Amino acid sequence: MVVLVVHAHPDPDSLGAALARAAVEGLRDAGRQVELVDLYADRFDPRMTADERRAYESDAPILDPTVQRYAELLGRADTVVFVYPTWWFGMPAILKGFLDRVFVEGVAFRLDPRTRKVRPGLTHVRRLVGITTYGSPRAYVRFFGDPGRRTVARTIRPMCGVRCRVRWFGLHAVDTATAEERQAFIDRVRREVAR
Amino acid sequence: MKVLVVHAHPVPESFNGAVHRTVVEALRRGGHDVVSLDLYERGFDPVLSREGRLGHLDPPSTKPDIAEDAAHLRWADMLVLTYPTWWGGPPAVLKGWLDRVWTSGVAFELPPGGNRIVGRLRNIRRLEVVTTHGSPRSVNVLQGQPGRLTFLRGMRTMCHPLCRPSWLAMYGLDTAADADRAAFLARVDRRFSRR
Repeated sequence: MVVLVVHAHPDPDSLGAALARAAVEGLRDAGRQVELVDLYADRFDPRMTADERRAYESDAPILDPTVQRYAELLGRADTVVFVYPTWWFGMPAILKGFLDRVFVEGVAFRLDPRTRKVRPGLTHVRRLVGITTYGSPRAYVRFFGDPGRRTVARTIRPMCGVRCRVRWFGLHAVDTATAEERQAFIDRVRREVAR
Repeated sequence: MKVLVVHAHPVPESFNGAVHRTVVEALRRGGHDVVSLDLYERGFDPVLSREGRLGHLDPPSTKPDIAEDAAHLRWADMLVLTYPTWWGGPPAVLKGWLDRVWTSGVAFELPPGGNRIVGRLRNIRRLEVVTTHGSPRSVNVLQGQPGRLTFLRGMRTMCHPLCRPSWLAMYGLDTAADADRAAFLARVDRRFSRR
């Protein structure tokens, strides 16, 4: 099994890009095989198309080769790591669309044919990790309920194995963080991401 | 009232397409001045680019690509969003409309040296979300309803301090009968006829 790292920041010189590199290094240092998906580098289009929506409830909901490649990587992962900047309380559109288009029936879930209830499809995933930066201080993030974290920890997690754990790394008030604070966060991610 | 309706579903003949048309028709019947933005129909690109990210605090005059949408947002007394809830929240195309259009000088100001943004859309006195969920309400509550928090708690703080947010949601669409769908459309029609 592999670790799938999904990275969603447009600027290769950003803190977000440094965090993705640190996560990959930390995981490889721990002996893990890592597959990195850099959504911006791949120029991923996050919009589910009309044809994909029409095929959503069919036996073949994936119509695009890039989506197919991502779905195959996800199928081989026991750990999925999301690295993103929190924009407007949650994931950037390019990462939200990764969920919309890749986490389809047969990949992330299956519909019980009789009851039409959603059943988990990612039971091989035992660990979800979020690594994110917030413009807001911690108290505000808490007050607004951190929708991005909820998306991973509460919406995606029930699709995974019953004992799937969630680990969260967040740097708050990033706009006013010092260079030392940023570096300390990068180092912590590298050190602890595989734990 | 001046109403901006933003719609996000790829398939015009979908149930969400019908919801959107019902909202617009009910508002127009009521004599409101309605601008409707169908993000898919307009081919809206939801991906905030590297340039967009690096210049995200620059004044709106530097962003001609979003000037039209920003002007609609500054014009409206009421903002209505119609979308399907996918993985807890809005489709990527709508999340990206926030990422790209709700920019500094349009939706908020960031005081120099601060890390708490101040809302600037005092013109918006009503924020209405109309959305559908495939799964039942109980499942969505367990999953933390990140989309609901994003709009009702988060985005509303960018609007008028007395802005009243409202949430009109259909749950269990995957198992809904035609009569349930018709009943929801009738509810949508009643709600927006009275606005």
